[in-house]
Amino acid sequence: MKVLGNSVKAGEVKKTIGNFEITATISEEANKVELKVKNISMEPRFAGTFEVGEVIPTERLLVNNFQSWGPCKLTNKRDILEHAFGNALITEYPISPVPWELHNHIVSDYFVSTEREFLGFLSSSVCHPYFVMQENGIKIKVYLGKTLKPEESVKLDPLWWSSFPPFEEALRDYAETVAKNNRPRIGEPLFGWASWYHYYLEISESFLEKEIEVIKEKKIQYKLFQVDDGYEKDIGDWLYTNKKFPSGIKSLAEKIRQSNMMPGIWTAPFSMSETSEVFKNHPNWAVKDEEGNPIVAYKNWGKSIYALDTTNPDARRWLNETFSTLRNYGYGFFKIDFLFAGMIPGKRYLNVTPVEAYRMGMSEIRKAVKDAHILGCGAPLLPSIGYVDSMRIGADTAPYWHEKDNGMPSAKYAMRNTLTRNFMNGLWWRNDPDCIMARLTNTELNKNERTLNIFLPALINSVYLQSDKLYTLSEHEICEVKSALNFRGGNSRVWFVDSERFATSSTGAVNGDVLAFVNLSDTEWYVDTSEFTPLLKGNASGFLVTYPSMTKVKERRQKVEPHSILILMHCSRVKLKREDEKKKDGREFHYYGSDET
Amino acid sequence: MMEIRYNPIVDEWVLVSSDRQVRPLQSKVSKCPLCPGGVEFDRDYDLAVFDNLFPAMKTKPPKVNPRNEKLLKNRPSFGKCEVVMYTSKHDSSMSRMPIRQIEKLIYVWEDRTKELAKHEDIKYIFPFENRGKEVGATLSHPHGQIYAFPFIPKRVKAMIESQERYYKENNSYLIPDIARAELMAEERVIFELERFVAVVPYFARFPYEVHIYPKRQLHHFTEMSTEEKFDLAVVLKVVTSKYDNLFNEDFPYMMAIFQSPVNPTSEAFGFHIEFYPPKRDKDKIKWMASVETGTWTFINPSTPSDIAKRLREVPFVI
Repeated sequence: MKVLGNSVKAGEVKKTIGNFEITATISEEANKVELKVKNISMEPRFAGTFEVGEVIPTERLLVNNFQSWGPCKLTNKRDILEHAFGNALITEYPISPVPWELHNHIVSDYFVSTEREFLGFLSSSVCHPYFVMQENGIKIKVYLGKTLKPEESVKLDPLWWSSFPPFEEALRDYAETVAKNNRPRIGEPLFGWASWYHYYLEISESFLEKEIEVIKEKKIQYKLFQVDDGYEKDIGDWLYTNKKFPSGIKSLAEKIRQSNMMPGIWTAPFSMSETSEVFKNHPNWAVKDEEGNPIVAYKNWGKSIYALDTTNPDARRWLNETFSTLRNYGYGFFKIDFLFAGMIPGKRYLNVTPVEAYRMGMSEIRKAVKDAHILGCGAPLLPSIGYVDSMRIGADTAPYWHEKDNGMPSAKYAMRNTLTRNFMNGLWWRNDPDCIMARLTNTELNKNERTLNIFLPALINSVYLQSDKLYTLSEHEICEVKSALNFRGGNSRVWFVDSERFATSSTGAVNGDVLAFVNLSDTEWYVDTSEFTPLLKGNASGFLVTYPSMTKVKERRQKVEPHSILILMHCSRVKLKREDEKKKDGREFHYYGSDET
Repeated sequence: MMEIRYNPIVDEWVLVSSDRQVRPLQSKVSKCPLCPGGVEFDRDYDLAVFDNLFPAMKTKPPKVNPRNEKLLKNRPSFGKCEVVMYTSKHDSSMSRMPIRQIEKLIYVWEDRTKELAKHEDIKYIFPFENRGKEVGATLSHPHGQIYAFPFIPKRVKAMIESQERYYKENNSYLIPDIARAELMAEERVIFELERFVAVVPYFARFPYEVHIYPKRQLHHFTEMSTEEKFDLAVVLKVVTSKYDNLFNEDFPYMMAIFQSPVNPTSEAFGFHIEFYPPKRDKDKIKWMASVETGTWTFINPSTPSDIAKRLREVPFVI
């Protein structure tokens, strides 16, 4: 790696770029580069993009998109450069907060890994850091996006590097170092029901009431019942329901609470549709372009969606009132979606960076909901640490496999990111791999894909939300979900075999220790399981039963079918402890506990 | 009154324990005595074993008035009655417990067998579970019991005689041979792993009777390998989970764990587990009526292979 054109060496390096001076302070001991930018001109100047270093690419690279839905994947250099041309015209904010960089290049946000070096920024609280893949090298860049007064300097987010192998350890070290540099909130791995993946927008008060009744009847112990998109009058008008919810969302929350579940609700707090009351009444609350026109952050629901200017005091007050009201209605879980809209570049009420603006909005929501659980979705990753309890870390899942890796709904790529971003789980937040679907009907997922969808989120001990019309499920389908719950609770790790094949270990899960192999590829995978047994401190002969087939483990070489998961259950290494006690009445009591050796 | 009386008509011993009439019943409103913080536990626990407050046998039994008459014999109620807490979680059950908890339970059964066998006068150690009010369980908190008898119970005696005779005639152990025969026949097998198999036996007495057999000769828990304990835990979980899913209820059963006698043991006797559910349908009980109770002869109103097919098809939670 080079910093400001110099090799990495402890000390300070400076470079003048136009009207700005960049200072890099390198600590070899901490593997850290502190960065600062200063306006050295006599005029206020807009500080945009700065190149702060470069790294030599290798054939295999790990790249990451800035937000929840985007890919985090192992790929190779040639594919990246070819891919860049395919994306030449994409300038949409869901893909990047610096879309102009996408015209000719692929961007990896926040971190990147070659086969020799891992580079990652430790926070994104001021600027947006990213890496641009070019033929001659990977450029390390930051986008600030605000005007600096003469002589004003700004401390940028620090860069961290690590050499390896093993690669998985570098990811883990990075996640731990980021956690130390931020103040993360780690949410509970909630088990709940969510409406989206079977009802989509067709939810109604009566449908949801029916589901609540089925939950009682089937005695499924959901802790959370989350109402997704489809209840609201318009995007932005969160406190007003449409015709399908005649009793309103307050009454719905009460019904959910009466059934001993926590009410959860979906919103997209930084989004205002062109037809919404909030936009029509407050067009000045939108982020604007240089000409003062509201910027279309994205298009969805057949409408143009504008971004809320979270630096506007009135808009922030409205945000606080909206979420305080929902909290007072009894909602304890907030899935806040399309959050990238809060970080688009543009003109705002205050002269702050888009990242700072985003964090002001997140801070306001956190203040309003107090200690309630926030699930971030469609969210910039690093800037959200500390505000969310859980974070969607992949594309929307889907009742179909889907082979396009572009952040659009796909069961395959939702699960791929579940694996590649597992290193964040429990350190930055609780990962949300998106919903599981246990149904055998109304889905295009085959048997193996469905099993993978049900068990992977359990094995990595993340948020576990189910999205099925429960009254359509058979006892077999419900039993599979209940079985998956017994594979939760473990400490999970993921190893990358290649871009589509992974091994995961889970120690101390409810049912015991397990090793699992995930094959997302279209071909069979013959894996020598003994190569992976040390990951669990287990022994090869201790893997006794495979799941889902529930057959004995016959040999070390196991076949993992395409699009499937193979789970090996390991026997316990119980060392029983006994404590004897004699009661006053002369009876003997023996208390048993165990140490897992 | 607490003593052991001899029945010379069938040559068996009867435990007389009139104090047990005042055993606690769980009230719908009061706290469960077996939960942490309940009457029996002033602390939390994972698994626990304790002396039954209303035992039918004790290691220090009350003295009895000896009757040295030829036909009316009695003896002190020496023995031990222990309660085995499977978990501190009140709403759990073997069917809902994680595999890891069932494995630990097997280690506890092993430890109790080892400890109780240290009493030279204990001859038979019998872990069991009564689940559901249909079989007289007074408390719903998941628990089983262990009776350590100073004699070999009559039915166990019959099992020993039969298995010793079989061994003599075939130079092979009966229980693993039955397991092999059932596996060959296939039709009554419910679930199989490498080291254990669950079947509705060919000779089932109760409609939903299930036996769990090891595939090699075992006498006591103490001989089981780590792998055997794991396999047994999985099979126990699968069987009890299937039971609960049969009629979508907490399925009542009696679970009898047969180990070889102790002090001394019987080489021919094979470890195995028998489940006797009292139900013959969702709302129908298979009663231990005159024929069953009086003659020890059972009339099974169902065909074991049909029941096995049904149990194979019932889903389970692992």
